[in-house]
Amino acid sequence: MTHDELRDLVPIYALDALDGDEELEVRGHLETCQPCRMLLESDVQAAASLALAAEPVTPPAALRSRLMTAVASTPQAPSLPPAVPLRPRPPVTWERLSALVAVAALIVLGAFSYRQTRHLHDQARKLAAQNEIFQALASPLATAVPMTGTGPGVNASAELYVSGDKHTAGLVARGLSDPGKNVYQLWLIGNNNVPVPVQAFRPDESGLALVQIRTNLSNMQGMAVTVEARAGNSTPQGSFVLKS
Amino acid sequence: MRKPSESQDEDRSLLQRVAQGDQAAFAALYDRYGASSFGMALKICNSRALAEDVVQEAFLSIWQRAARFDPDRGSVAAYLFAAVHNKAVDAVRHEESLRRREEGAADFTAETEGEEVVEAAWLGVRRKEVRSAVARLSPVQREALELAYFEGLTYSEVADKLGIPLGTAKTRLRDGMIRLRGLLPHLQAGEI
Repeated sequence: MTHDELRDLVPIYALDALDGDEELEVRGHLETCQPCRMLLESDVQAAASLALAAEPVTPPAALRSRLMTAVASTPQAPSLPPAVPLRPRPPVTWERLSALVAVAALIVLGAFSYRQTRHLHDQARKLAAQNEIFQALASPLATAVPMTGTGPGVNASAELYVSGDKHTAGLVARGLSDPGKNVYQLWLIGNNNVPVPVQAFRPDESGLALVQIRTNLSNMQGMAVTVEARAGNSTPQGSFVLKS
Repeated sequence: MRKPSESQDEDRSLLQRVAQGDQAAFAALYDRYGASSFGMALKICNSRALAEDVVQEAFLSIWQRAARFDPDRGSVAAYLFAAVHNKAVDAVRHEESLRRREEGAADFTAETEGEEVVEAAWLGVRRKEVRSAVARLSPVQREALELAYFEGLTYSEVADKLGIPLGTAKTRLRDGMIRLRGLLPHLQAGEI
């Protein structure tokens, strides 16, 4: 599509009324076109004003009580730049994530090239795939889900970045201790509240872990990380260290 | 009566306090926009139970991410309504939710009939302005926007429902939004 064709779709994107390839194309365009981003901000305001066209209805008092109870036990995500709600869905801290990924990739690639240059091509392909995943997370449609440390992971924290189409995610965890012979296991909590194993991982020496996830997250109710004696357990056996 | 711009400042101040973990500020924000949010969610979901879930989820997400709100990018009210709308549309697009929507249609009408809502005077003024602007859209633009915003339809679904070509649905939505922007001058000042 040309720039003008993409610009004409911005108001419809603000209404969340695009789908399929067009939505992806407009989303990608918005990441690089400042004038269209400004147009989007104005369109999001206009779309939101439509809320006032509906008749206001006093919500039940019980809803307020439930909400305040939930708030009392719900941790807040830290303030991280950029704080940019371009669209209804809250923003991803893309710069920070991409920087972390770039650094991690360079370290991996650099160390690898000294040892086994013949595998560089594979590594480059892996990095290209990694880049594709994190491109998806750069979208303003992506959401960030904070995870807080618990139990042996009380000093850890993490954020899960979920792409707009909910088929790609990235976990950035910090403050994880060396699990020794154990591994950390990421679990997806679905509608039925049953944890499904997603991926086992180990943090680097600084306690940082970057985990790429490619699975259908549309029914995700939450994520959790446990420390397990081995990878491949179908149900959590060890202690929980991070919960969303 | 407070000016809308003063209320916008209050909103930003409230959200800053929310970002610092102030639950009273969060409650104040909910009290201010709860009825508008619930009314919008009800219109989209057509089910009180589903609308309650939607409003709870949306406000909880505001609590979680308050520190990431950028006041330069729009008003708190727009941010909040957008969060509620997004959750509501996600809910009605879900197959199970569609079923509940059918079942819940009757109780929505019965339970909200004759209800009187107390809201800030300035919000009432804005509501009149928005309704007046919507009334001044052409009937086909209004119909298309109604289907997209309050029924959560994509433009291709709008085209299907109205039996019109895709390009026509696209044009009606786009022109409707452009006209709406022009009819709501306070949007230029970043106010909803």
